[in-house]
Amino acid sequence: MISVKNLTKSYGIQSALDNVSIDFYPGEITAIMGPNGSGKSTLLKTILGLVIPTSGDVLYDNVAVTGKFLYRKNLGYMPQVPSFPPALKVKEVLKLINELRNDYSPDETMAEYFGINQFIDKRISELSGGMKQRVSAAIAFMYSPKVIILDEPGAGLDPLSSHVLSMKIQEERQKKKTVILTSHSLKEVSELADRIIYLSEGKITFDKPFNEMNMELLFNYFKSDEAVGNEVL
Amino acid sequence: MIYNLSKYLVSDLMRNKALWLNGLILFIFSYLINDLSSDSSKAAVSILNMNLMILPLFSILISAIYYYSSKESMEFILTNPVSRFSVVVSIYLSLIIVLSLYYSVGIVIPTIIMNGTGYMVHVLVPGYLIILIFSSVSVLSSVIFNDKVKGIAFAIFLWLFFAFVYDSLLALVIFYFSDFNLEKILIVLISLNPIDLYRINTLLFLDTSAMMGFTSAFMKNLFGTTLSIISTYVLMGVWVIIPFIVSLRLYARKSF
Repeated sequence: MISVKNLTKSYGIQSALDNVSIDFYPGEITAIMGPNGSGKSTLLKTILGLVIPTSGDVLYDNVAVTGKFLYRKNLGYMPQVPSFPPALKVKEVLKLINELRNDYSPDETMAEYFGINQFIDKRISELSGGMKQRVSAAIAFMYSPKVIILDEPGAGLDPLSSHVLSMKIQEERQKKKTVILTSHSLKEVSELADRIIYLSEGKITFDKPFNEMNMELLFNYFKSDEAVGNEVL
Repeated sequence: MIYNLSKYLVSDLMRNKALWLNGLILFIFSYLINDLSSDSSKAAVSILNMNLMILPLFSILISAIYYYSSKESMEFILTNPVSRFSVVVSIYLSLIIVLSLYYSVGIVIPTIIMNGTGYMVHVLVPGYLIILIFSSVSVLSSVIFNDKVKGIAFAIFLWLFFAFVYDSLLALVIFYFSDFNLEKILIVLISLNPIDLYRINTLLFLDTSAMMGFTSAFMKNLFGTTLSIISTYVLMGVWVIIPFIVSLRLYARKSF
């Protein structure tokens, strides 16, 4: 199980996360929602070790992992905007990740699953945003991680790839994996999430199982933020 | 881990056509300098002057540009079980490998072809140290500044400062405080500019007194030639290590 305990991240006088505590459970898909700047990405990046918290801890199997890196062998991550060394070919990027995770053998079928074999010999700089997302999705699932972290997974993917990804996420839930995703799409969340955590100004506004959710209330939360509200509406 | 990561980063950097086009232009320049100089000592001084300007600028600029352009890729790499230490060391290693190759192709090889090794070695070898120093300084400034424009602007400022401004400031200090015994202070001030250290080191080897300038002559008088040369090498080594260690410490605490 992965948890965050009393997590605070401040940039000067601004708090990106303010005393946030969450337990993420195996076999559960947790959607982190909230307006832009609410702290969703900071939360994910803190779990991944990219952001060093001002106070509080990230715990993996009840062990504090802040500042450590080996626990990341248990994590799979799909960023909102993937970025790889641009001059490398897709197959070289896969080989690089393979060498960085040399303790685990990759599930080669993921390349086929996300349809990246057709452009495996192309350089990263020649790929479209959607193609890079598919490479990133394949890498996120390739090493059978126990925790899968997806930052706006549907954004930038064509409908077919988005559907393939949704199927894969649900499959992982069946395998008792912990899935954490951020999304601005109510449709995506209603299809996938077992639990919704709504963040606003770095604090948890609510944390509820999806089936206990009052959708009207969630809708109103979104409407209160104009930019996100327009997207959802 | 460092070997694995560096291998791919070197491969990524080596495919940069602009870098090699620049290397080709430098090759032509070096060839012409060596060809047009009437004797090898004049060629050595011309190559030294070219190195003093070009090597710090290229090392600092290419390192900063690469750091910022690969920043998001490195973030992605860091989501894998890789330490931050390995990532910074790999970035630095890849940069100095590629820049050293660039220097070898652009300056070292044409100079050796035209003038042989001989004392040219003393002009060319510290050039590699200048690459190590300015890449290290550039990685440090890039780690400090999150903003790409600020980081690259600061890197260019550092080059301008060490290449042009510093010696003027030193001359001012000597001029205004000429009544005082400045020997110890000057030793410290000289060691604070790696470009000066390279110039002093090479000119002491070449023993070109006309080109030596105040700082080189001062060091030669104080320590003698051999000890001065060893001191400049040691100080250049310090210039490589300190910025790099500070970069490692800052990168370990950095939030992306």
